[in-house]
Amino acid sequence: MTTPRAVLTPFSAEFPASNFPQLMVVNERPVLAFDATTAETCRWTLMVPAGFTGPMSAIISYMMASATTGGIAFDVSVEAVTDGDAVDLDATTSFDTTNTGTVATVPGTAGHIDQLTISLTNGDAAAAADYYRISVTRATANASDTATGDLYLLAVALQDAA
Amino acid sequence: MAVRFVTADGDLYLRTASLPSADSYSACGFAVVNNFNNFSIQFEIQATGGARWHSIESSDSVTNNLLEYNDDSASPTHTTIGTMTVGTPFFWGITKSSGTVHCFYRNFTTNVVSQTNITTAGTGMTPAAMTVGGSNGFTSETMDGRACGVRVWDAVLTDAEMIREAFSLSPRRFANLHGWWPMIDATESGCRTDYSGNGKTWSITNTPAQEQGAPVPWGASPIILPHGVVAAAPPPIGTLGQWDMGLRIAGWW
Repeated sequence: MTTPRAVLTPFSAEFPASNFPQLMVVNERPVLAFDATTAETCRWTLMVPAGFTGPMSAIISYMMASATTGGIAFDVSVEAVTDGDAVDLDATTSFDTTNTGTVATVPGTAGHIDQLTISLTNGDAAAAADYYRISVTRATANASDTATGDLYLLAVALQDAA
Repeated sequence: MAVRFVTADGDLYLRTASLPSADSYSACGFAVVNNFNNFSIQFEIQATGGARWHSIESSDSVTNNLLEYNDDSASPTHTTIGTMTVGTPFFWGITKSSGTVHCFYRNFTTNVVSQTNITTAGTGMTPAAMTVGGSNGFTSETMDGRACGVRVWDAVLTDAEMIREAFSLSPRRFANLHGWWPMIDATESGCRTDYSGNGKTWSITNTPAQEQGAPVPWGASPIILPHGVVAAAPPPIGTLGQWDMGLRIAGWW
C-alpha cells in the first residue's frame, strides 16, 4: 500500500525567471498551463516528512486544453539537501538525474483528467528532514510528447512507493 | 497569465465609483512591458477633471519607470523608481499618506526591492477614477504590455509590508484590502473580477486579451500529509449517540 506524503497544487508552485508554465484559473480551477513547444518548468519546496524512507513516486494529474490525440511527457527532478551538506545553495542547484514519464495517448476529450505516475528512482538520496525541491518540466523535446496545445497540470501528489 | 493592454487599442481597466482615498492608500502589482511607449501608464488614481493624479508609468526617456504626480494642479513631477527592460517582469508598489509617498520597484532579474521616498505638495485630492493599463484622462498613454496581481488597500502599508507583497500574487496583508485582481483567469470577465470580496470589478475599454504574465507564485504552501492518519472505525451507535467519523492519529513513527 502506498502512502501519500504531499499534495502540490498550482497555488503552491514556484517559478524560474523564464520558461515557466502560466498560473491561471480555468473554470474556477487553478491550473498550470504548460506550452506544447517550449519546455516549461515549475518547482515546489518542502521538507521531507518524518518516517520517509523512499523511494517516492509523483502522480501528475492533468488535462489537455484542446488536444484529443497524441502523447505527453514529463521530466521530474529531485533536489534533496541534508543538514551539513556542502551545497552552495545561493549559487548552485543540485538536482539529481531526471526521471521521465510518458503517456502514449491523452484522453480523447479535452478537459478530461488523466494521471501519470513517475517513480522517482533518481531521488537524490532524500531522507527525512531534508530540504527538498521537486522540479516538473513538460518534456516537449521528448519523442512521446506529440499532443498539441497547452497541458493543464491540476496537481502533483507525492507518495511512498512502499 | 496576465492581461494584455495594447496601446493602439486603448485597452483600459477603469473604476469611477467607490474608490480609495487618494490621500491614504496603497497599491501594487506586476507588469511586463512589450514595447516602450512614452508615459504609458500601469496604474493611476486621478482627480475630478483630470487636473491632479498619481501615476505609475514609463518615462519619456522610455527606459525608466517612474511615479508621475500632480496633486497641486501645477506641472507634473516625475521621479524615477526603477529601470525597465522589455520583456522582463517587474513589481511596482506605492504607499501614500498625505504628502508622503513611498514607491517600490523590483525587477525580476533580482530579488531586491528598491524604494524611493517622495514628498509631494498637495493633499485633499478627491479621486474620480482609478485605472490599470492606462489613464482615464490621458487616453494616448495606454500601456503596451501585460499586468497581473494588482491590489489596492484603504490603508498605508508599512515599507516592510509592501516589500513582502513583491513576491506573491495573493496579498500578504488582507486587512483594509480595497480590491484584489489576480488577473489570471482564462476568461476576460474573470480577469476583471475582484477577489477581495468587495465587488470592485473593473469596467473595460475594448477587450484586453490574456497573455503570459510574470513568474510570480500565488504564495500558498504545499500540503504535507502526516504519515499514519487513518479513518477511525465508527463506535457502536449508542456509545456516543452518533457516528464519529473523526480522524485518529495512528502514529508519528
